[in-house]
Amino acid sequence: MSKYWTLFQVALQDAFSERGSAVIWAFLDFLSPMMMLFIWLAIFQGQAEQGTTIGGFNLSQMLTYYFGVAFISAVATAHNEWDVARDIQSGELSMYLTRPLSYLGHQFITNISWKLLKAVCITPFLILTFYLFRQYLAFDFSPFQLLMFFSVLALSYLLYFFNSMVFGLIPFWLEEYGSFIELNEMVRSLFSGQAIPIIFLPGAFLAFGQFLPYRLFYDFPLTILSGRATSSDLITGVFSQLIWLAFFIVLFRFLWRKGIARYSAFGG
Amino acid sequence: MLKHYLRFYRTVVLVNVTRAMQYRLDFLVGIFATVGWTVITMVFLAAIFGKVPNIAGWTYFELIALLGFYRLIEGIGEFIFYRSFKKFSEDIRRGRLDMLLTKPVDFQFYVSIRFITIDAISSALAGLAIFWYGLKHSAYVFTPAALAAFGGLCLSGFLIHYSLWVFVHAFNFWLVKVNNLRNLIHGLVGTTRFPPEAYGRRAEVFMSFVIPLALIAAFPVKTLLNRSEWWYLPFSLFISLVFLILSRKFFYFALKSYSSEGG
Repeated sequence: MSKYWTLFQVALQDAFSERGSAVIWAFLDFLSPMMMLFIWLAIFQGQAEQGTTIGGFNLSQMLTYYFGVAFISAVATAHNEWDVARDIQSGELSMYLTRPLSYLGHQFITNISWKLLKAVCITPFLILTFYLFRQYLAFDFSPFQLLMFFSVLALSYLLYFFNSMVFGLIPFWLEEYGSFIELNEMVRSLFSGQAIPIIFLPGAFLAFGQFLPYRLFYDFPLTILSGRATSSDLITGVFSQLIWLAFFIVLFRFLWRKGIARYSAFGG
Repeated sequence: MLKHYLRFYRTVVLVNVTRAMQYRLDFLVGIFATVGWTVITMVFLAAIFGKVPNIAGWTYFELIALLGFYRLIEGIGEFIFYRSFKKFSEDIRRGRLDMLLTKPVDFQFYVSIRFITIDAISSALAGLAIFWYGLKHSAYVFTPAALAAFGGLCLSGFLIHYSLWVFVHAFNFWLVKVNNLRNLIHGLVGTTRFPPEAYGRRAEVFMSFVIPLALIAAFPVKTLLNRSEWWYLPFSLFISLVFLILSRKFFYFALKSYSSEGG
């Protein structure tokens, strides 16, 4: 355990030495939802009657939703696939394999420290947003809602992490990995609720999205936070999170074993 | 002189096309992904317009036209600048800039165009098709005057877009370790896919006069939609020249501080 603690401290220092990039990433995490806040404000203000709802959201719920999106993209996402893929393709992976720490553990700890830094960086942006939209944002969460939100978010973070790790393994088999990772990002953005609440997807898309794990990343935690989740939603949601998490962990371990065998055979 | 630069650029394109053809799968999946992104936004807009008649005075098809135009210029920008500036950031980080400074062409020119991103063509073409589709279903004007103004606004918009790349990347000379300035451009230009009016009065003024993002996409599109003001063209041309000159001056100013650090 202590070796992972040391690794964490080193990773944290590494992350802080990249603080310039972190500020930019945090700004970008905030920029898209911020844009949507303005757009939705314009949409609602264009409505003839005040107090109407669109897709079951009133103005305040919609703006709170995107505030949540900004928060989640800064603290509960993982984009390790790019690093992992680069390590495999460049051969730098070998360096990690000789260390007394698992590569998975290494990636996980690196990401956790990066998330801590991102959380620090995005805070001023969130405060600014809160200030600008304070008259619309409804932050009346019960302690139970908050507790459930953060527990579910922890699970969806793990799910996000293993999803990204699996996609990082592509270069074991395929030299051209970039587009596949981007494709995954695109599908994720559409079906997770990051771009728009998934309730706005056309029927067929919405139905298809139910079979994908992505809605668990944004839509599910934010449904809980806004108090729109019934207890059966909650149970099914957590259950699917656990099933998907198990699926991605098993898939990762399987592909990793196969991939490493291939990698060593090539590397000699 | 111009001939020299044109020949130089042709070589750059040829080398890149040859390389891209080795990665055909990447290219095909890339097309699929870029078309997908556009579909996402169209789906989003269609969903909204099921409930409201317009957004900040823009109809569905006018917004589609703006979205298509945004994809087009984003694709062109990415085609020419994305990988060049990505490499630029990497070279600064690894201290390999000296090599670039000794090339027999203008430094800023070479840094800006030395790689192209072939995949971005698909994005640009998809954007063009969507732009056309949106225009066709809106009350467009294709008079010679409107088309001439559109051309002028496209040119100045492109120059502003390019100046943004140069201006933002000048900071790389000080922030040597920062490797995502290109994503910052992507994010900033991404705001132009919605009309500036939709962001509220203050943001609209900011996007017209401080960081002139509105001039990149909204101004040209509005001209063809017959919603422009007379001062758009002279204003946009003036601002683009100012930005072009200032960004170059700033880039070289920043370069100086980098060289002196390297010793």
